[in-house]
Amino acid sequence: MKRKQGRIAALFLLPYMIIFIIFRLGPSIAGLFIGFMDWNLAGIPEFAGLDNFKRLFTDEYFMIALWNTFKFFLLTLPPLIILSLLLAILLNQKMRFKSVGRVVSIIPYVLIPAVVGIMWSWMYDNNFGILNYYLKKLGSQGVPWLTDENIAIISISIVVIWTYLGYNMVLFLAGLQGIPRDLYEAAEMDGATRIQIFFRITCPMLKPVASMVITLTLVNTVQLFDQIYTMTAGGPGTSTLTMVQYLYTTAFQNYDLGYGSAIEVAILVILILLIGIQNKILKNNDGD
Amino acid sequence: MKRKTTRILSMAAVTALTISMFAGCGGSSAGSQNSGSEGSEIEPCTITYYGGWTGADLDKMQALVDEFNESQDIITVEFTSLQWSEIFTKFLADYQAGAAPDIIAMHTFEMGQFVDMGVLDAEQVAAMDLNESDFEKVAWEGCKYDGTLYGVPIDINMHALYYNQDMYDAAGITNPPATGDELIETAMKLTIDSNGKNATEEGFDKNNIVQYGFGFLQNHHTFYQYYSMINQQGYNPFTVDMESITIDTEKSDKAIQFIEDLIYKYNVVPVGEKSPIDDFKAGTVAMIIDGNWQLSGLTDVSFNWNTAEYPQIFDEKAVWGAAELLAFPLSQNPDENKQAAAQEFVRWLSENSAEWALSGQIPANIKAQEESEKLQGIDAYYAEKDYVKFLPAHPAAVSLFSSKAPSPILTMAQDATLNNKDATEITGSLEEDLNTVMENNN
Repeated sequence: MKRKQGRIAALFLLPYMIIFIIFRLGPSIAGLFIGFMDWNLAGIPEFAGLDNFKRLFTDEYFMIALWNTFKFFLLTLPPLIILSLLLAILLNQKMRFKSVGRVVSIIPYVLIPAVVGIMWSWMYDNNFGILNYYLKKLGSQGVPWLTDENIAIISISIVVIWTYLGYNMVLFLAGLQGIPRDLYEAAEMDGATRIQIFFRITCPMLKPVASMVITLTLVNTVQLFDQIYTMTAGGPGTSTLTMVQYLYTTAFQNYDLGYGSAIEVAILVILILLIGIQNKILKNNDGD
Repeated sequence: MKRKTTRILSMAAVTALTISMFAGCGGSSAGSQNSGSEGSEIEPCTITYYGGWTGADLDKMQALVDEFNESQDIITVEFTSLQWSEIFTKFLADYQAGAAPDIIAMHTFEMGQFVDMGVLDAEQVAAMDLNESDFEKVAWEGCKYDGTLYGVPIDINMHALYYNQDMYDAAGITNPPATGDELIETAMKLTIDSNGKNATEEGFDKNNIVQYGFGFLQNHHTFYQYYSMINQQGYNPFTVDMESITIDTEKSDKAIQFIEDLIYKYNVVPVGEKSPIDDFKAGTVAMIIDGNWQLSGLTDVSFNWNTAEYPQIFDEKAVWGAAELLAFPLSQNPDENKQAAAQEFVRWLSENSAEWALSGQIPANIKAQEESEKLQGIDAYYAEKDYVKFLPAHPAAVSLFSSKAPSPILTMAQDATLNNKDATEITGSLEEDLNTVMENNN
């Protein structure tokens, strides 16, 4: 009986597995091999040994892209945890229109990222954008949202936060609703204050969700592309150049497929390392 | 290993043959047509054509392809158009898979990379036996690489000055600026603050500008303007065979400084301007520098406008430009019938490109130029043909002159327009970044 169920389960999984192998696993493995090649897409790949991987360590642009990606992570992670948790707590209260609030919060996440990028780039326009229009009405000179090397990365981070806030809120909301009510009741009977309940019960119980949010933010930050491509194309200068944007330019604009694949492998390794470190830290904390 | 390779190649050949039979190029007796090459007949077939046009240009090109398909029943052209960088990726992937298109469109400066990759067929261009005198000289020469013609030019693009005639009239300006000084003076008169004062008047508030006198794209197109300005000083260090570059600091700095002064000294250009043509249409910018591809989009604006030649800011006239061309990819399995059909279509398109002019393009074919309906504002562009300067078709041109970061020219443009960095520092960075790209390319 179990065997039969296993076969049926495998049958259901088969279509996805075929697609996964052809379009995900296969290209990823091929990418690893191409990383050892010198290939411009048109000619025959030539074995280049470790040249492409060595180049990563001396490539100024790769280092800039790596640093920018890390900055995006640092800029987006705290708001994406704190704000989405606060929003989830708010929308978990007994209040009118909370269903509307939940739906509205998730809308940015379901919009196509490229559309989001284009929409915000118009709002951010220095001279005729809606944000600077109102800032100027208030007597300000306006903000060079996407045209200042130091501000552009913050402006894009705001868009990223706006996009993923609702999604993270849903995750936290699910976590909040999964906390047994009797824990709160017991705490209240013991005379715990609301702040004590929040830090002693809610926060520890939401740790698995927070861990997932951190992982997802990390993955989303490393994969950040559409918003960058449509809003700044990596500029001004290289101030918003991320690893995936650099990979795209290298592989599909400059047709340096070998080096592009080496960047892809580097992204994968960095991601695995960071998620590994994060899991280790969380496990150690659990042990404490 | 060799046996396996041979087997794969044989399978590929058989597959290609099968596909070509089912695709309709296998000798149907639906009719035949003279290919234009002496004595050869074209059997009914379908050919593929890739281009990188979007928007109004795409509609015009699609209409031309449809017209060709309807004009005869021998050759069917299947046209695919994506953004330029996407269509080139598709082209190379298809080439690698043995399914390259029969015709590919590109710009002159992009051609060098594909010639260097060995994916373009110059013999097919030679087989067309074209007359040089039928084409604009600059476009014809732009299609050459190392003395060999690799494509058939179809149009020329350039920068020129667009101006709002109504704003000119209101400011009492009679003629568009022809020199750098006139450009500054005119732009200042047309830059107006919220109190109605222009930039030449005492008490002008540069923090509350409601109408700018001048505008331009603050991306790779700023580098194109820089390119115009160094050429106006009789200087052009960018060559097709350069392996490294040394930029004349004095000449480069003068060009960069002029651009920066327009924005930061005279305050006549909006900092970080995103879309000059939209600002121009909205009536918030009085003059802009843009290309002839914008002309067809200005037919329904509510104000009077015109164009003028790109101002002569330095010693001589020069303006950045490019030509679009049609090239024939090399085929691993050449099909002479399809090649003849492709040549026939390219010849037809070149000779009938008068309609292409309706998208604002200047046909490279002189006869088509003469037959074309002249769009409002095109005259200024025609006047620039004699001194237009193309970027070289360097093998690394797509990386050197990339519009996406990391790009030497984008960094240069943004350092000038957005960061107002020291001109000498920008020149030094530009030189260094260009040399890094060339070093990596070697």
